[in-house]
Amino acid sequence: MTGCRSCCLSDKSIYISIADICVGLRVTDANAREEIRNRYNNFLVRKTDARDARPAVDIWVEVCESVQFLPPEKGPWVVKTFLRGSQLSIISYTESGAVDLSKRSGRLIVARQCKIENFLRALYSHLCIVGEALMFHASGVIKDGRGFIFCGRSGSGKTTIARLSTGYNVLSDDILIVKRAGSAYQLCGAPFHSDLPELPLCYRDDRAELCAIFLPRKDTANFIRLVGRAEAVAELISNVPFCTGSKETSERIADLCADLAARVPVFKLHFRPEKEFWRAIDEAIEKVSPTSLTGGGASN
Amino acid sequence: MRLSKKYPQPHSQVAARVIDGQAIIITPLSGEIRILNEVGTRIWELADGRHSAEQIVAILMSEYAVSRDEAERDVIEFIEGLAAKQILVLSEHP
Repeated sequence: MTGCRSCCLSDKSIYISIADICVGLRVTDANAREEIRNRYNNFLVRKTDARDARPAVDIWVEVCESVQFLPPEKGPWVVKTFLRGSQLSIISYTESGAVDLSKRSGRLIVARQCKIENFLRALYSHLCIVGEALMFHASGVIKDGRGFIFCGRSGSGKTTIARLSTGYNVLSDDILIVKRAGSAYQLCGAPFHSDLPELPLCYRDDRAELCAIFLPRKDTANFIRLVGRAEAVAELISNVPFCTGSKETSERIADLCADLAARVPVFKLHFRPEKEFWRAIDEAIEKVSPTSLTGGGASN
Repeated sequence: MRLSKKYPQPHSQVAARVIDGQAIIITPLSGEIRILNEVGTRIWELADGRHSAEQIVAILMSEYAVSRDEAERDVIEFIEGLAAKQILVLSEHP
């Protein structure tokens, strides 16, 4: 599927495809529709392609005046997700969505002039784990045709790494998707990133085989250590956003992360915020042999 | 020890996997993730609702070169700690 903006302008439906997971949005409000098309421009797909791909869910999007769904709280933006059976609820201050994953349909109410970004992020995180994919809090870079992701919470250095990666294909500084592709994993671009204007983001649906995963921490020197699988799996689980809440979902995420860590090396990366850290990464990758990754999945 | 007659088992809502001999415990509601060391993982595996704490101590003594005091201390600390966080629940019977 290729991104195509003009072909989606004829009606009220918008089809977004991220990591080959298609979501249909039926947006009656013309302004909201235009804003969504602009925001997700490089991830829009033709209606006919969306039909072929069969959208994972179709969402009816309704715009309301002056609504607020959560009381204001200090600190970062709050997004609450609840999954009961196949019923997924996603609520932020300005978005309230309910999706029936088994019926592949849902409804979203969004305050006027507010984005649907949080809803889409949480929805895609859940849709990923239904398939063979995982969404991570991560920045991602394609360098020399190889994919690298840098997983971590706020302050770990994701955005700094994106800033220091000018000249390479920077996919995002905040949220990315990795997807199983045969015996390997593919790094997939996603339109979810911070809004810092100076970032060199490509903001496209680009792909590359995932070469390595890094757990960054800003430091005064560059230091890289390959981590054991249990530690790697625990770190990866902790960087999957929006999906905690149920035992079944947690187990599914753990199994997916265990498979990922068996196929892709995971490193702790202490880095000095200078572009030279890429040299340390190149050296670390050279030293990793396939035998250092022991195969096999998780056990109960 | 009072705890010795109890039968510990994982809370029904706790998710866990053992990776390369280390248990990873996920508490979904809080989002907390723990990795257990080798001995902790062995106690976790034995805390299946069929073994009492007393029986777990005996098994640890047979598998590791540890005294009863050491094994009891490890098992009690482990079970009490995880029970306080509602990761393990304690039953009177298997």
